[in-house]
Amino acid sequence: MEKKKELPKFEYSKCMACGICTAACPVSVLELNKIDVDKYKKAYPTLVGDCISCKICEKECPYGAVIVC
Amino acid sequence: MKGYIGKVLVINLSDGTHEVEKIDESVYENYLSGLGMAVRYLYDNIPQGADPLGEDNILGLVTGILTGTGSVMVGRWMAVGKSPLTGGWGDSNCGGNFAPGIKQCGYDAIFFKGISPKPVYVYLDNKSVEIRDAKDYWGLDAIEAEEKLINDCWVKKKPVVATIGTSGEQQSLISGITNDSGRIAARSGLGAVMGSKKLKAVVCTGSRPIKGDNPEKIKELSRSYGKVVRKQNMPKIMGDMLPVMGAVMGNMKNDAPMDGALSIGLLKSFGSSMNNTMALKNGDAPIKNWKGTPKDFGGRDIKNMNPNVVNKTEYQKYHCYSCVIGCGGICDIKKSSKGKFTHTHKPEYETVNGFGALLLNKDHHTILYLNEILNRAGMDSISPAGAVAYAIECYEEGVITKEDTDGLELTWGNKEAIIKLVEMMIDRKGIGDKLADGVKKAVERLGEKTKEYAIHCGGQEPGMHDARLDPMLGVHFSADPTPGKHTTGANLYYKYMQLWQYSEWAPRVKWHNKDEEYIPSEEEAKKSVAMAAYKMVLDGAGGCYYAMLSGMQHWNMFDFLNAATGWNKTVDEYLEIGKRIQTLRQQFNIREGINPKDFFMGKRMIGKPPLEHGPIKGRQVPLEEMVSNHWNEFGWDKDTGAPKDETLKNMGI
Repeated sequence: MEKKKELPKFEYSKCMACGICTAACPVSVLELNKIDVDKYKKAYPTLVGDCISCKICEKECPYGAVIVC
Repeated sequence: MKGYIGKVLVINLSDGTHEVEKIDESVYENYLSGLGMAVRYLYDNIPQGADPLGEDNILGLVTGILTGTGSVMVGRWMAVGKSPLTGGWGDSNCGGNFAPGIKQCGYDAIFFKGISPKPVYVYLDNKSVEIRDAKDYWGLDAIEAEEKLINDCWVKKKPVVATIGTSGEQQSLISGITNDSGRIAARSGLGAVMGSKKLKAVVCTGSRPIKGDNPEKIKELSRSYGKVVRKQNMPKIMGDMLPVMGAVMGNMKNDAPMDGALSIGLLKSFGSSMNNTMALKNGDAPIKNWKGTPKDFGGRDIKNMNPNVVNKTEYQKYHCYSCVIGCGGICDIKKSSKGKFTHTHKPEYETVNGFGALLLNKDHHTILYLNEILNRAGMDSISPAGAVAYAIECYEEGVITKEDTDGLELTWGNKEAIIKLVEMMIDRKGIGDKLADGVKKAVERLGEKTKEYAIHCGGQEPGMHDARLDPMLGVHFSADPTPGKHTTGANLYYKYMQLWQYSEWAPRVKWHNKDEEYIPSEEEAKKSVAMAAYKMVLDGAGGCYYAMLSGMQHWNMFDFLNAATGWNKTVDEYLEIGKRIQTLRQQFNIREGINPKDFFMGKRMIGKPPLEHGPIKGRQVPLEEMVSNHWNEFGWDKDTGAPKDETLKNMGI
């Protein structure tokens, strides 16, 4: 059975939209383009491409807002 | 890893070679990274008397120690070099996403020597350094060039790009270096230096990890600041209340320490536009080329400067790298630009006041449009606004005529003429060409009779904050080795920072009568020195000025630095580093033959003659004595501003 690919999941209630995860992603598959999260219309991260499941985003996030699972 | 990498990339554009230089550990311990390491490197490597636009000048793009370590509010990078605008030390600070991009390629800084025989851009990834032909990009505006370079160079990791626009190519002395489609290292004319080197852009696609000594501690500090930021929110009505708040502040006779958390809430809602109307009411905002008062620009005139008006056009907010406040925004300008452009970065307060109150222009659409064309040209917005104000006053006073202005009716608030003039500056046409290098150069071109209307500090037009309200700001406008910058220090910032809670010697601010701030004293000098030292450390760390305004009780840069480096330095030990950086910047200018007194603000800016109305009515700044005290406190000669031999020796410079 093929192993399920682990992908980043974002917990927006913890996320500060700081872009540390997007800058750290070595293949740039995270983008700050989700603007319907808060009243400020801040751009939050989403997965937009083929993730390599390296978990760097999870490791780098200071706020525990990204979990790769 | 201690936050810094310990290596810099040095590219010689004349012969197309490059080398990686190791920077000794002691340099970071004595100067940090970023601005501090850069001033050490440039002082040692730029020959005395180098032409700022010649082969001997070195342009640096540098990052701070904290960038990339998981610390928040540390997304700043700095351009450095000998300034063609002032003839002395030049630096300019910028946000966006470019800063981590440099470090992810494996360098703390990139230094460019020489002049390329043809236009080029530099491409960097984890392993390679390539100097590539820029023929397809030279002549494009900064946003077009950045978009095309990202498309053309994107292999795996999305590139980050720093580029000049057409103004840098044309070596306008008020041009800068841009990234993220509209953030700009605008001051000191370093875009012209990049243009003189025929360097269109730098493209970084590296993905190397950056680490601090204690990542968990760094995260803990970042989370703690995040909690504060999350709690600070403002109701929408606050936008309408800001003029009232400004008026109250302007009328208060006394002042006291403030909690910087207030600024966080305002920045989250409005960005730097929070200041637009507040500053017009409290006396901070210069009006009518620094000679006006709220009588000239008040009441309904300021209606469209309300940050809620700007926010109506904003459809998205954005953050610079590692920022948790998010003062940036993207505004719809289809209407403002008559369909020419779709959007622009939210104009900063500096731009709004520069092309608003400084010119008596009430029309915010003009400001949004000018913001975009200046971003695309890669031109500063403070200096061009100062140049337009100068030209208008010259015209209104009759010292230049329609013959000089190519037929433009340069009257106060004439929005069509203002737009046309800025477009001519960007294109270097007619009178625009005469103004495109700032007001000091313009006086040489339009005649001595125009000199009294040219407002500048040592060649650089000052930021849109008035020293007649905040005397310490005037000290830094005049005494900083890169004069005219509003970001080095002010009484207001000092009150927000509350540095005295952590330093043994930085004077405490208590409840006091504002008049005391205008009296030269050893205590006031200690404050201005502490302020400058803090700002130098901030620029060595790569930190944001708005994090500084949050106050140290919320964002303690020194704790972040110790966690990132593994050092255990005290706040005062860091401030000594800050003093060392500032002293070496000053020494750079002395070596270049600059007379520091030539950087002093002009009479109008110090209140001679005093304004007759408004919150700063009658205020005068005893500048010479305050700066003399400031120099003395730094260990520089109190009469000449030159660092004393003993000071240089004690600081190990």
